[in-house]
Amino acid sequence: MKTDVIIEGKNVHKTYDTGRIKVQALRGVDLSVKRGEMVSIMGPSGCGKTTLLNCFSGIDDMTEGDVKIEGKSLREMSDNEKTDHRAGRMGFIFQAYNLLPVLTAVENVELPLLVSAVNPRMAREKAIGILEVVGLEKRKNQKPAELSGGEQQRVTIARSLVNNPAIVWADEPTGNLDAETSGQIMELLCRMNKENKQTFVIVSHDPAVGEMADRVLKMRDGVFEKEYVPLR
Amino acid sequence: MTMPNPILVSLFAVILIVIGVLAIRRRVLFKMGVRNFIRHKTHSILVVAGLLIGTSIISGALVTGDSIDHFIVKSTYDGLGLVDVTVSTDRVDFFNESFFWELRNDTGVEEHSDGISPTILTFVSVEDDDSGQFEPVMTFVGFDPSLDRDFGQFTEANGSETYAYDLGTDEVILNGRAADVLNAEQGDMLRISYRPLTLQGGEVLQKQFETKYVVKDEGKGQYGLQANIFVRLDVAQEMFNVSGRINLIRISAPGDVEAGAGNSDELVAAVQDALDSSPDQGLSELSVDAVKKDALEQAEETGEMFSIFLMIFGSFSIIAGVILIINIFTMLAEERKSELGMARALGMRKSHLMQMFLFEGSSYALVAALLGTLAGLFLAATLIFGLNSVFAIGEFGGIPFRFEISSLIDAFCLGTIIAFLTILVASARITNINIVRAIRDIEEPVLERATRRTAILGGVTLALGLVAFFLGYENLIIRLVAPCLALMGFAFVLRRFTSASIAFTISGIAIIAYILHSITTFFEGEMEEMAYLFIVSGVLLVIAAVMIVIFNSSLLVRGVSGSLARIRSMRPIVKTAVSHPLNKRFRTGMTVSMFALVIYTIVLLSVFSNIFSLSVSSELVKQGGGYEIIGTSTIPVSDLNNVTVIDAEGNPVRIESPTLANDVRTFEQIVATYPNVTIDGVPLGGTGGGMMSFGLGRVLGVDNQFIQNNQYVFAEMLEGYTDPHEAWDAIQDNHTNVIVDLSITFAGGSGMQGGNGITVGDHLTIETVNGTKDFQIVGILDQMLLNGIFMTKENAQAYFSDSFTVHGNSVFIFSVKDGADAKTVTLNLERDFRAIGMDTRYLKEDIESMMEMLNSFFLIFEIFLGLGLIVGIAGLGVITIRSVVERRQEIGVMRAIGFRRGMILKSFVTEILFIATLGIVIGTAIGLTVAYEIFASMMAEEDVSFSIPWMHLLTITLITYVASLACTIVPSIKASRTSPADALRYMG
Ligand SMILES: Nc1ncnc2c1ncn2[C@@H]1O[C@H](COP(=O)(O)OP(=O)(O)O)[C@@H](O)[C@H]1O
Ligand SMILES: [Mg+2]
Repeated sequence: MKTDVIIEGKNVHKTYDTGRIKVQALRGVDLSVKRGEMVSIMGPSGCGKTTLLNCFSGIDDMTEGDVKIEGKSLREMSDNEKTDHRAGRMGFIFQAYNLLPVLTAVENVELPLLVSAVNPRMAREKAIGILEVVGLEKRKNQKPAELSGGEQQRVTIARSLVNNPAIVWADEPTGNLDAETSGQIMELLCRMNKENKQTFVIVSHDPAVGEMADRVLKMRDGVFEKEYVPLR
Repeated sequence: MTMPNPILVSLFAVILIVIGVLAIRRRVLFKMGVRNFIRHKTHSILVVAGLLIGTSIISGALVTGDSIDHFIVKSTYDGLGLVDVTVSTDRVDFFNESFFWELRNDTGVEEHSDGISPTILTFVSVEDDDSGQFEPVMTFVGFDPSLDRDFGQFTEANGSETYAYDLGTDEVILNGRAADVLNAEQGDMLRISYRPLTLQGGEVLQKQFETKYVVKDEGKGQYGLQANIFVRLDVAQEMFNVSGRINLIRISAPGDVEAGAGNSDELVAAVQDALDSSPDQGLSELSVDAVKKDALEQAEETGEMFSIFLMIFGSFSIIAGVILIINIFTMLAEERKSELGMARALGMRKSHLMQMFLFEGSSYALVAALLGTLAGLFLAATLIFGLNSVFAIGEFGGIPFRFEISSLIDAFCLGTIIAFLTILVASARITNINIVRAIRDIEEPVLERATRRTAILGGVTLALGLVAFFLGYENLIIRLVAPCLALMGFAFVLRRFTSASIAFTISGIAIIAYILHSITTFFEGEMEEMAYLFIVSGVLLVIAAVMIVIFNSSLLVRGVSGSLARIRSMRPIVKTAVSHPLNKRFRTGMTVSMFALVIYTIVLLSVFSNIFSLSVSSELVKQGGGYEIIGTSTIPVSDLNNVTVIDAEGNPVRIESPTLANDVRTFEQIVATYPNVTIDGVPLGGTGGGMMSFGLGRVLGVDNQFIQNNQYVFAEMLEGYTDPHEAWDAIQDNHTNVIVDLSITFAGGSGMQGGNGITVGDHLTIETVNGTKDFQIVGILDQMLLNGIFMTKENAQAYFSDSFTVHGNSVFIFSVKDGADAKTVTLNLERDFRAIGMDTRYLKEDIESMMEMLNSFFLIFEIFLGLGLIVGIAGLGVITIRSVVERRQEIGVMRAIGFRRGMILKSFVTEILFIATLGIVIGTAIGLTVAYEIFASMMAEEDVSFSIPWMHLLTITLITYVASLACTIVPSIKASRTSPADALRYMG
């Protein structure tokens, strides 16, 4: 089952209804991602990238269509089931506000493990191990406010990987960073993808990010416009 | 009508004017401030609810005082009617009626009075032959209907009025109370048992009367608020064999019932003049008293005392309210941080921002003070209802709910002033922001080490504290506060060299140690000073303890997560729940302090009420001295086994009591009289007007049998005595030696522990027939059920002779045979000896009902104190609402990485419980420690044991938790319902 499909969304629609206006953020998106693949979704601001990530990862409900994650339909899962699935099988990286400001780096990283009821000592060991991987073991007892933007994002990556997830969702992971730091972060993500054979879905409007992916999907106005494999 | 306190009103006016002027000068700021007040509804409601408690406590305390004042005033007016001044003997005795005529014909007295009447006032035992009911003690008033004209008429049940000129020689008037206890109706035949002056020993006379009138408890019918029987003066004189003599003259000053009191000074002077110039030699013992005026002054004092008492206890809640204001304003400022930074960047001055907060705060303060004043009315009504149901004041009509408008104005002004001053300080503090950090909404950095400036400031505080300590050493408050101030200053100096947690922990521990030391060394001043020390030390202790806990948060987190982490699913919840409050040290510290302060007072009160109740009940049981029943007879008899009643027809009938013969093992007979007793010139309990006092100044003459048989234990004996018998021997050997019971040490004291300092070796001054004599206390009995000043029967008779015969009485203590039911014996003895007015009490039952009363009384106060918890809980509510908004994105992240909805809810609940628990634990710990220190230093030698009412404390804790959750569950649920997609989008 080398080429099995881990994410499979069909005809996904999402309409935001604020009462005053209706916004069709997704208008029939089909997307399949294979296990271990690194997919990048690109497009201008407001085209629906974040919405897609939210709907596909189960953070938000879709209006129409269905998404199957590892063969299970999101529509058939309760909120708690989806939440538990996120805790056990997924990792998340957002543009900002990723970390809980009151917890130290290592506490932030181990949190998903504690949620999955891992023994605290093992959780701590694992968290420190993964902080080493992202090169931050020296900063493990500092709080987010005491870290630079790039360091914070690396802690986030550590956290998204600590539970050994099947899928990592990243929304503009380099959005707040300068070009050099962005490059380092993307390299780190690629390395993780290669080493752990994990599936990455990365949303970004930054072309530099797309170049690192196995496959790039271009989005416009809530639908995919085109798909290509970047040249390296 | 009383006037509002001018200082409070003018301060309030100043505040209003300042706000008014500022508002006009800066209309925009005023608008912004008031709009902010209106903008957040739930938030504003909680803030106002928290703030109004302080004012409601002030207003409730004042109004309760008003009501009690009014109650005593009303009882005074009712009980005295038109009587303003009395002339009576303190040494209950009779004097010549001719003095009444002298007064009546005196031009000075004439000018300053509008009524004067001669009276005999004494006590008799009454039996209603028609209803079969009897009453051992009833007030018996001999009056002259025509001379009594000026004191108004009696009102019959049907409403018709009468002066009772037609009252016959064998007829009486019963007032409503008397008719009630006897179940009597008009026409009933009454048998009155009494003892004339000339008769002594075992004989009692009886006389039959017909009930001519049953009158309402109105006007003079309710004289003294007692169950009264009125007869003609000449009849009373004949019965008691005192023709031409009386024991009371009642005089009315010009004006009606209320106005008379104000005119009584001149009257007293005129009567005193007449008394001094009277040729009658037998008047030297007479005293002239402005009874109404004195009672009214007492009323005001009592009411005020009650208000102060409530406010002292309530002050912790008021302080908690002040903390709430500071806390809320700090949060408001945080919430609007970027807004404020922007405003500052655009050119608004600090003072402008401050004014804006001031306007908003004043809106809260005014609304809260207004509602709080009104809530205080409700609070007072509840308190009074509680007091009425605990104490059987019902028979006097109960304490009515009354308030003076001036009290409400005072409460409103004081409430506003306190809130306003707090807001002023809070506004100054929060507008001190860094513009850049504010705009970018960056947390203020927590400096580990103090800056040079802070350190110098700390040094100055340290020096100031030390100087104040040495200069103001005599003032106990300064002696208490100054070292704590110095230690706080020291902490800031220390912080320059070491971490905050070490500095504050050291100074916190030192402060706690110093205060505990102070409590054991110098907390025994006057009651008033003691109260302030109690408040200040409580606040300081709480601050120090909270400081220690908050600055050692990492230990705490480890401890809490360590213990709760046993439950796997709780681990991530505990981690996030505990981290948040410990990250916001100031906010958390404040909220914890609010809880701790209130819990502290409740714990202190409940521990002491518990110790007090336990000790009282165990003491009292132990105090019986081997006897179960105490009986007091209105008519003194020398031998209970040999009492003869000469009935109305003149036939002697010996009293036979099968109960006394069969069910009583032994009993002691003691003679009692009520002379004038003073200690260092201060009278001991005695009252004028021939009324019986509570027995504080009672002399008990005991015989040899009692001395041999009694098993009473001594609390204290003169140095050198080892055995109780030595003390008893001492009163036999030396006629100026006396033994007293424990109650004497409570006389005149105002605290729970009587503060009069009377001890063995002290001297009592007692008026005897041979003039005033000094007596030395050689022993204090460890009991107060049989209270009085003990001397031998022979001595008592020698010192007080004939006063035993009319106004003295006999006291009997009975020990019941095994197998006999003490309760039945009690009732039977009262019935068998009704002719001598035997009033019996079953000690065990007495103690039980007294305990019940005490406990309910304490409970009422605890509930009153518990109101302060509302402040803390409202504070938690505000924090929670704020946290939900503040942590939206965090909640989004948590949901995304796998926190279920329920886990978010649990996390909030855990956090709330955590804060509440910190407060409860700190408050309880300090409360118990202080209680123990006070106990150890002041009560340890009285063999009372320290015990903690755990169940009670647990109940308080549970109530606190439930109320805290009830108040925070809605925002917590709202937090858990946050959609992660929406929350994460917040960041844009
Ligand atoms: N909660 C919401 N309510 C209303 N409209 C929304 C909401 N979230 C997103 N939108 C709209 O949906 C569209 C897609 O947004 P988004 O997925 O955030 O785009 P992107 O991530 O590509 O910048 C935008 O037009 C945006 O304004
Ligand atoms: Mg986006």
